[in-house]
Amino acid sequence: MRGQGVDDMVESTDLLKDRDAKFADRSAMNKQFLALDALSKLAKQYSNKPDFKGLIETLILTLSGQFSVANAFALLFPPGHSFSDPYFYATGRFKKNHLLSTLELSEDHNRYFIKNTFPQRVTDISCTGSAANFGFILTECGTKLAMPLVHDSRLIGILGLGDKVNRKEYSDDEVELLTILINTIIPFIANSFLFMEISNLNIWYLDILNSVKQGVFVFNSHHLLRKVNLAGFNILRTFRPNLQHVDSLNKIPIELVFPDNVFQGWIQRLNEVGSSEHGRLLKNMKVKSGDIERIYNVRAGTIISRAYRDSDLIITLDDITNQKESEQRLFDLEKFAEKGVMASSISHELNNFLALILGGVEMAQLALSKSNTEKATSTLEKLKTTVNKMERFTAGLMDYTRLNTQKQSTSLNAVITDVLAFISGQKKFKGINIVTELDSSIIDFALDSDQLAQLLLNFFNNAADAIHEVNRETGQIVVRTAQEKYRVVFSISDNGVGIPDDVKERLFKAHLTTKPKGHGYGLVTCAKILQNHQAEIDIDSEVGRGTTFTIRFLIERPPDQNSEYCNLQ
Amino acid sequence: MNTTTIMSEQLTEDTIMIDPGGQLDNSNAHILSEAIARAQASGFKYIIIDMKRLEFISSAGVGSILGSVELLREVNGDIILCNASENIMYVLSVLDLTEYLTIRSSRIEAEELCGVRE
Repeated sequence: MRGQGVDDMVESTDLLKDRDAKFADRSAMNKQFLALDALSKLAKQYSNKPDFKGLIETLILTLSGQFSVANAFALLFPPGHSFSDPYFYATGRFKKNHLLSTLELSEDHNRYFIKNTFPQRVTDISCTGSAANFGFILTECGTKLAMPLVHDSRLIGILGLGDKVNRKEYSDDEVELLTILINTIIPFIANSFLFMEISNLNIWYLDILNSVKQGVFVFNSHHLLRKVNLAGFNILRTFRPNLQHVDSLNKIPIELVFPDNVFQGWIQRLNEVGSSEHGRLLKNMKVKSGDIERIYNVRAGTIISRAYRDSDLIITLDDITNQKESEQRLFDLEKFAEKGVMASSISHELNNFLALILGGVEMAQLALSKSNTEKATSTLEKLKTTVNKMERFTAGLMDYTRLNTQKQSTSLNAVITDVLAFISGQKKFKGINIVTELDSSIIDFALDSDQLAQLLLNFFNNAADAIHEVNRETGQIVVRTAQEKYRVVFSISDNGVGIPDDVKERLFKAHLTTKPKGHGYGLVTCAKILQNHQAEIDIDSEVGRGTTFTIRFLIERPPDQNSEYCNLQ
Repeated sequence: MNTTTIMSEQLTEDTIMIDPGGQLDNSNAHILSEAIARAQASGFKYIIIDMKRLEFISSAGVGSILGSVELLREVNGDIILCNASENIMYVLSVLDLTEYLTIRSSRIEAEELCGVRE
């Protein structure tokens, strides 16, 4: 500035009045220089900022000063503002001009100004359609010049200048200068819109990140913290309450973010995460500081950041302390419930024994009434055996491991025959044809005969109940055994009511019963016995046609040393 | 970015003095604009802008003054510039504002104009 004519400077307003015409010409040149200088500084200042408001405000102030205008306004359509909802900024009396501040533009304005992109006197504006009154409104408000801001064939704003304070008209030279200024500044305004959009996107992404319940930490390749979400900040603050603001962690080394005195051993494990891994799950990590102890599920991995030409280390922490506590509570509850189930199962088995005793007593009474002492004695002997079994069972009531079996090599066929002898005279099986197809070649294998008897009794009772439920005239139960390589197979089929699919899925779970007087523990005991014998069970059932249970016992020793089973072993 | 410090001092019930320092350009013109707007909103009719500490003023700086002059004059008030340096006077002359703006060479003259001094 000093080199542009400091020597010609005048010292007071009186002297200025006496300037000659020559000086006035130079002044005009300097005015143009001043304008371009101001504009270039403005462009430089806002070339990489998303602050379009600052840019517009300074532009309006610059134009006001440059063209000696007290009143000026800007209507702009940045991202988020439509033609009908422009951003408005004004100086002087335009600030409180209701007509200007509530002005809504339309596609008609857009169409007109993309064809008339130059600064124009408002009296020359000839919009059509819904924009037809635009020139009139601007004139009424005291606007003299309107300058459309058109970028990429789109109206992005309009600037308006009021009267010059010296009441002179805008000269053609000034309009030409304005054209140069506006055309220069438009790309910067469009650029600031773009920055604003990117900035909004950044805020949007950060909002998304902050809505995640897991703590998310992003470190650059030098392991300096680049970003942390709200949940992450709160995790750190759990152990360091003096942390005031999330920004205070910016570019902090990872060792300070997860200090070893709190996050013991973390740094070493996080540093072991390979460069190509994404979302590698590290084991749950415990953090303890004073009285506070939390458990986190930790994931760590790297991603390539194109923006920074760098790789980022992403760490997510999921606080699973409450989940772990809930799991422990659930585990305790399950143990408690298991005890309840066990008690109910035992009660159920006792009922089975009592049913057998009652049946035996009835048979003995019948035999005695017919003076058949031989039959009565035989029945009483069997009753004695049953009572002995019951005694053995009750002796182990206090010990759940009783169900963990006492196996010895026994013939499954013999157990079946025994059970069939017990049930054959019972009322429940009256009218039911029991067919036995027992394979005599099946080998003896280690089993608990008492438990197997309980198991078979349950299946026979259930089969009889299923047959009675469907009121079938000729009920039939078929019992089969077979040798199948290294398995002994037992199956029991009935032509009873059948089992629906949804019931089938829950069959061996406690409290499931389809019987009016049932309690749903019989098959739970069966499941336990099957488990004790490493047996597998298949259920084939069709509603209305009947059910087949097939049980395969894994035999622990081969039939003989040269058998195929031996080779398989 | 240039820095400017703006100090203000209430002289009478109607008059306030604003004293911007440093360089008033694009980066900080809005600060003067806001200071003037605050004074205006507080009911001061006369705003004396003492430019003795001001080294440079850009067209944006000038624009920040112009917006309020007309409004104050409507209520028989004004903005009075004083102690403007040669540089600043040159800018005002180039912008053809030396006649429009009320300019006094010293603060005493400005205060006399506002009735602060007899």
